[in-house]
Amino acid sequence: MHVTKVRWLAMAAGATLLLAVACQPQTQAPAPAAAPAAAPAAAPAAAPAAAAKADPAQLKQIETRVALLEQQLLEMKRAAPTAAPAAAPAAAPAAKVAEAKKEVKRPDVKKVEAKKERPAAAVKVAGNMVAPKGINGCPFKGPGDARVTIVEFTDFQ
Amino acid sequence: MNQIIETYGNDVKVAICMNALPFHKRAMPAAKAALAAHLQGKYFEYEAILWDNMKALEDADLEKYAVQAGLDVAKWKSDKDSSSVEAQAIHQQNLAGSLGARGTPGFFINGENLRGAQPFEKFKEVIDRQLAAAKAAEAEGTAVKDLHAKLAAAAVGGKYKQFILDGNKPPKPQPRKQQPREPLSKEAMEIPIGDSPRKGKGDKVVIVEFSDFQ
Repeated sequence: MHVTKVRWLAMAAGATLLLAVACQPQTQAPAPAAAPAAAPAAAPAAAPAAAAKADPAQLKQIETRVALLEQQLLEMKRAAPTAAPAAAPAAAPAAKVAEAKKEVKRPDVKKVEAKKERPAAAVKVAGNMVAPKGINGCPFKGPGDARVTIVEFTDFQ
Repeated sequence: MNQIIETYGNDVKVAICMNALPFHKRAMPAAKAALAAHLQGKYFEYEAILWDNMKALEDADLEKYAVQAGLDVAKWKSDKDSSSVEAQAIHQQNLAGSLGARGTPGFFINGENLRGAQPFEKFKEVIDRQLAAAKAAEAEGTAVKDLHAKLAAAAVGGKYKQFILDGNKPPKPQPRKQQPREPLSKEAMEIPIGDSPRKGKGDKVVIVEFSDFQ
């Protein structure tokens, strides 16, 4: 009776070991045997289910990357309020741009002032010639850079 | 004027200014109509129609010509009646008066005055002279754009420079003072007519006419 009990226990233990051995390769083989770099290579070769089971390693890697990125983000966020003084130099170029804009506007203002000073605004005629001030309202014919200018006074009646 | 432009090509340009004579009642409305056409870049198209219709210058005629010239009639009407176009027409009229151009047409060729509708040869004479002077000045270093100012600087006793080149506002010309006429003599006068052409055979009343063909 005692012997049969021992045998049965031994058999039961053996079956458990066998079961354990049989299950071991499926669950643990990729992890310890494959290097982290080999894991992705093993995943495509494995069945979809196996690939899904290989994900935890990748997930861990992704998680660590995400954690790193989150950390970086936090650091950047922390740096943001203290970056205001650091942004001051950046504000300086903005001020320069504003100055430049003012400088761009200034010639326009000068032009307007110059126009006001003139008794009659000069008008461009043909070519690059500017009509004499006194007759800038008179219609012109002929090239602007002609050597001879004829001014005709006419009456239609 | 077209013959001048065709002959001299790029050596000549012409500015047409208005000088509406006060005793021509429709001259000022026509001048304003032409300047309004100029604001649409169609002065010369409009002017050509006016020259063909010098005896029909009523408002309705001027508007008809605006249509013929392809103008934006609403804008033309508004410009024609605007104070700025009127001021421009009066400015040009005063300019002519200030330079002594009391009749029309009047010409200033690099400042040199030529009065009345002259034959082409008269223009050629003046233009050739001015062209030679311009080329001489150019050879001495005057830029083409400065030739007009240089050659016309002393024209009309400096008035051309004052009013046209420098753009000073010309004053409104004063009407000429009428010289008081001597009272006509009612007494018969002896006028030696010699061999002057005569017409008629009567000798109780003799009319002597003094004439000029220009």
